[in-house]
Amino acid sequence: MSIWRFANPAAFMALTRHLVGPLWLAAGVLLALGTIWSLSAPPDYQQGSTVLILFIHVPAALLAINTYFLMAIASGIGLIRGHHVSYLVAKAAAPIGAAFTAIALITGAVWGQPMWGTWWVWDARLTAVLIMFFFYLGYMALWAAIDDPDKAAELTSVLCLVGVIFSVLSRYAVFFWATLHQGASLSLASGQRVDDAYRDPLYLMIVAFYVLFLALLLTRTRTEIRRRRARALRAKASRASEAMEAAAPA
Amino acid sequence: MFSDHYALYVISAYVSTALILGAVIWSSVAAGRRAKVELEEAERLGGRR
Repeated sequence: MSIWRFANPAAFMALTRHLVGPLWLAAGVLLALGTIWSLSAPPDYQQGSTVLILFIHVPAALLAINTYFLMAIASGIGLIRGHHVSYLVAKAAAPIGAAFTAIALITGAVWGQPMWGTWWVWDARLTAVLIMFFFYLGYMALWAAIDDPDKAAELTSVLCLVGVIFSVLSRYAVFFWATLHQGASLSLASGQRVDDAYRDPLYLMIVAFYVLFLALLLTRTRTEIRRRRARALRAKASRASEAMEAAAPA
Repeated sequence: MFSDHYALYVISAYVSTALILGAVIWSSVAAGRRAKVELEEAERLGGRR
């Protein structure tokens, strides 16, 4: 069975019809449990209760970067294979990625003020994330600005691929330069860097954010497919109406 | 839980996250419902012609 059969809008809608509801339910339950567990974690000996911000900042930052990667992959597939569903997945993911990027930037600033003594620094990682946020906004603005959906899909895909460098920098800037932002909190290669008291609720919040992301992505992609189908049907009806008027005797 | 003087920072972070996620969830669900109605109307329109 080929994965490309899901590039067919009907197959995609049929596959996701029964997934959306359970995903929303799972996201709600996991977020509730994760938030309760996170807020009951003990204060850190250095950071005090600001350590609790980590439970939303880290998952949001992970999703901010990974959503852009997903958009870039979907856009690339759209450009190479011409699948409309790929373009629509990228379009549906953009507002979600922008929201997670905004959360990462805001929670980072709110944590930075008491811990670093400043809301913002022009550090390589922070700056890359801010530019990536602007790419999200630019991508959505370009979709909204072009009437022809096929042309919009191609141009936004090119813009998305241009901006992928900033999602790479957002992830790896801490390895390339000496940044004020600390390195990865969770790393398979470097062993455990977060105490057990914080690590387990953090993992739960990461899973909860990912499940919420999937629920949002499927819901928004289904919306885009329905909109496209409705537009095509209206255009077809309009053409049929014009043909009937032209054929009618004067 | 918030026994130190950082409570306001923590509350601000969680409230702003809840507001942003709430806005995205609400707009996604509302747009989905609108698109469903829009498609049903377009299908009816197509069926009449």
